[in-house]
Amino acid sequence: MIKFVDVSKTYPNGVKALHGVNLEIKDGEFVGIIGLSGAGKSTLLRSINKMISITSGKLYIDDVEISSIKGKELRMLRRGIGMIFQSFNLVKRMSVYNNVLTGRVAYHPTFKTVFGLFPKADKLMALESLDTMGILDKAFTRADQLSGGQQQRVALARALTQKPKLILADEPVASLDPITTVQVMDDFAKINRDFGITVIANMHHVDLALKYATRIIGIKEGEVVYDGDSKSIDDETLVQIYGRSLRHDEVLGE
Amino acid sequence: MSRADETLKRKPKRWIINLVFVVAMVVAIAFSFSGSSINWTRLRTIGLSLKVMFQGLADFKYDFLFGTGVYQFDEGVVYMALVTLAIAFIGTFIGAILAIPFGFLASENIVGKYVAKIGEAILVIIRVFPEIVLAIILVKGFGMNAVTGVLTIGLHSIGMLGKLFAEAIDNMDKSPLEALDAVGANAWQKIRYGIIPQVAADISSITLYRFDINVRSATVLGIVGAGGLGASLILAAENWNWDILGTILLAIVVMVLLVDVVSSRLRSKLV
Repeated sequence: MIKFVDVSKTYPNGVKALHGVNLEIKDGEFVGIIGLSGAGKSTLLRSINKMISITSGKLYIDDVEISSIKGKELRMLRRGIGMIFQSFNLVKRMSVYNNVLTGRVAYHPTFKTVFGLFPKADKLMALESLDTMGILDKAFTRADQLSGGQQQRVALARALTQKPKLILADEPVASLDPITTVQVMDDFAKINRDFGITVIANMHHVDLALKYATRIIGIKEGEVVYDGDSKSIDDETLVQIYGRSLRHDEVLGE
Repeated sequence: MSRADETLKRKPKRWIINLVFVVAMVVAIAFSFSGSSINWTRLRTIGLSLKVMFQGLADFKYDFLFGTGVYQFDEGVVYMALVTLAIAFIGTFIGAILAIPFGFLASENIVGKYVAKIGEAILVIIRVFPEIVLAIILVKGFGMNAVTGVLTIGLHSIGMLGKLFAEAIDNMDKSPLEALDAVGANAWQKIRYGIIPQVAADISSITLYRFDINVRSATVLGIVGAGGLGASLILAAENWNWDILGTILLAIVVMVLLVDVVSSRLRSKLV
């Protein structure tokens, strides 16, 4: 369970990215965060694994207050949280298998990982994750040989190999074409359903968020302006989040 | 008047600067000739000298080349060429190993802007120090042998290798490091899985290129006594032993060409 208590974030340049955010996200939820560019979606997401540190308020993950932790404790927190990025963030010159295996590095002592000594169980874990994502046959290809959608699946396999309870996805499909987008979103839904992993995703496309997420959090100028079921969201709420209603061509369309 | 005409009028006038530059160059060249004195007597006999030289150079000493007959094997050119290659190889290897920490130290990506400046400054100091000067100093400490050559090449290579390694590290894709942060990797793990796989090919290619350069330096360094072919080369030249000199030059040309071909083949396979 993730709990935001009066969380604010002000960047050193004075930009207030989050302002008095109160939230509670339960295990197993699929949360879509929507809002305009610069509304604070990314800051909200990245504060959960402390890729960005909040400036005030309290943030609990499973009742552990994380705003003061650092060093080894922080790495232990992060190894249990998968993260997916817009640009996949794979090492392109490394094989798919090795990329996925890096999901295990924080579980072992430095000297073992530096020499590449992973237990057999971990190696199998990496390959099983690739199997789950349907790209096991690509295990020993270099990551840059894969298409965008396949690379995002490798990133998802890497996250799965962490055996996380939670996956954060920062614009996971923003650099994919519409068809691949649907496939990757289906993968997220599958992970959420089959493994009970909580998914929190930032999304540009409102209709995608509404289709896949069970809960929508709308952000505007650093504040939560909507928090509720994705089915009960209406035009009026979207006006509240985006400042005006969305035209037909601004959604992905079915 | 059209807008194009008006814009043409505003075209910056560069001809004055260009003229000043050309005049300055002509004056400088004229001045540099005024100080030189040409030895006309020597110039008149240069034809004869060249004839003697080329006749001698063309007369290979096969015994000397392979270290047979009156020569011991370790007096032959082939043996000395192998020593030269070995000096270049070990020197480059040592240089590359030492250059890796310097590369990290001079990379803004790793240590930040300010520390990187310090690292860069160290590398500049190593680079500006001429190799031959370093060899002359080291000969006093380590004697006239191959160890001096290896150390000279090793230390001097750090300057260029460190700089190019740092550039390779700065040019790499930083996004995997963000991902490694997110999986909870520590600094060593980030280097091992985020940086090394990305820069290994570049570092190997740069090192091979430097090996190419170092094979040539190893020959020249022999002149000041740092082992290898150079010592025999300078001795032969001073004694007008053109036949021996020719044999050594042949060995150098073949060796450098071979290394050049092999290293560029290997480098094109990398990346």
